[in-house]
Amino acid sequence: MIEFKGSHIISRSRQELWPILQDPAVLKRCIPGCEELVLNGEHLYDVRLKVGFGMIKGSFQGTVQLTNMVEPERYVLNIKAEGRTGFAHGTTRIQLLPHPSPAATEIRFESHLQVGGMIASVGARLCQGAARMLAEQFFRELEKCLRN
Amino acid sequence: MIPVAFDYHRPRTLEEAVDILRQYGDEAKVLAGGHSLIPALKLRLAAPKVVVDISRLPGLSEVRRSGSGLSIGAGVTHHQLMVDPLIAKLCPLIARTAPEIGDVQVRNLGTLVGSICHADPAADWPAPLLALEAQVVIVGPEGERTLHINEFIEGMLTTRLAGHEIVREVVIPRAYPASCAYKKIRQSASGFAIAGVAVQLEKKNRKCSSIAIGVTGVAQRAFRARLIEKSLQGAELDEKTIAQAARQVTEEVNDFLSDLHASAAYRAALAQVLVQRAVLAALAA
Ligand SMILES: Cc1cc2nc3c(=O)[nH]c(=O)nc-3n(C[C@H](O)[C@H](O)[C@H](O)COP(=O)(O)OP(=O)(O)OC[C@H]3O[C@@H](n4cnc5c(N)ncnc54)[C@H](O)[C@@H]3O)c2cc1C
Repeated sequence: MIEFKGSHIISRSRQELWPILQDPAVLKRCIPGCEELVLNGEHLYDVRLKVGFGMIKGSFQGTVQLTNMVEPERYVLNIKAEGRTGFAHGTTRIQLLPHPSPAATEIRFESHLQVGGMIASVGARLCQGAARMLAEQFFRELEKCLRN
Repeated sequence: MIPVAFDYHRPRTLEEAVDILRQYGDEAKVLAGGHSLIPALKLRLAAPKVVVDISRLPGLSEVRRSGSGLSIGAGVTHHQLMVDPLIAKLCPLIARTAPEIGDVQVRNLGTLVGSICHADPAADWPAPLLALEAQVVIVGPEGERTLHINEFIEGMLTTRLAGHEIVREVVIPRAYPASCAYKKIRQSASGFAIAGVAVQLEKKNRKCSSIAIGVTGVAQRAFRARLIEKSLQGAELDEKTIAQAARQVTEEVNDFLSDLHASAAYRAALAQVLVQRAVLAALAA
């Protein structure tokens, strides 16, 4: 089980940010390595990902689902992905907190990930670092999206 | 344990190797000692279409003088660095790190350059190379460029190297004295560093006139322990001063790794202890 948490300040109010975080176009751009993301039910997306760190690369298919939604405060992001080299299942609790500076939000996240298969048996010691880097990449892209 | 099929090239010159990489880009992978790439191929964690073997390129398997320092070619193995007389004379920290890597088989084939290109957070070389201010010389279709090791390694398994580029050599810009040490705690199966600390220092009278500390294995990437260096710079290095300074290791980075081998708190504690041991060993050397 990989556990990690973090927070990020985004220069938008919670009300503005709420729909953006569910916009399939935004999600597709911000989810690292996302090649395809299609709506397939209420807050349910089918995804195809190509994730890589250096020489280690893998293709994954799966779903992203948003549940427990309390607008504009919090929701849970559920991820299931499977590929030839292994699988990852996980939940991330996401909280949007008002930030002291106007029109800004603190996004807090707390992830619990289960990784299995080849990736886990040989790369377990790298999985946590990888998960953290993917989260950082997500927020970096989100900031870029918001600037444009 | 059987890799996905790939084409194998063994170019005769570096130019030819760069040319193959230019054609295939990210579909190609350079092969040096193969001690990181081959396992990944066999497990199918990596599946390049083309493998470009540079291990026998002429001129790359030597350690040479370069200015007042030295150059380590891309084909130079860990074992060579253990026994090379020039390394022992001009850069003893490298000679003392090499025997700490893996086992005999790994040291006989694996290369220093391959290790930094792979950028495993538990690899040993980044610690001494950061302490020695090493420069990485990269060649590509557009020519040559040089990056400081600190810029070259970006993060876990990632570097600034583009898919069509090859590292030709690592340059240690000057000669260093014998007051240096590398201390590590090994992961017992592979030998990789759960924590590793390299120290290079210079003394004047009894005071420390300069000190560089590289730490690996404990965070997403290796780093220089700048806060500790600052407290020891100019100080008289007694055990108490060193122990006090070493405590700051927890403030150096905020992403201590935590995995099945060691928790973040345990790694931070190891790093602190190893800083003390390495500084004391460097003083005694
Ligand atoms: C059992 C075992 C134990 C080990 N223990 C340790 C240890 O204790 N400490 C430690 O630090 N390491 C350890 N290693 C790793 C070992 O040091 C590897 O040799 C090293 O990480 C990679 O070097 P290589 O020459 O084998 O590179 P390869 O496996 O051939 O290549 C590694 C990566 O770098 C790229 N690459 C290689 N050379 C170049 C170049 N010149 N230009 C551009 N890209 C290049 C390749 O494309 C590949 O992506 C261990 C490995 C094994 C199998």
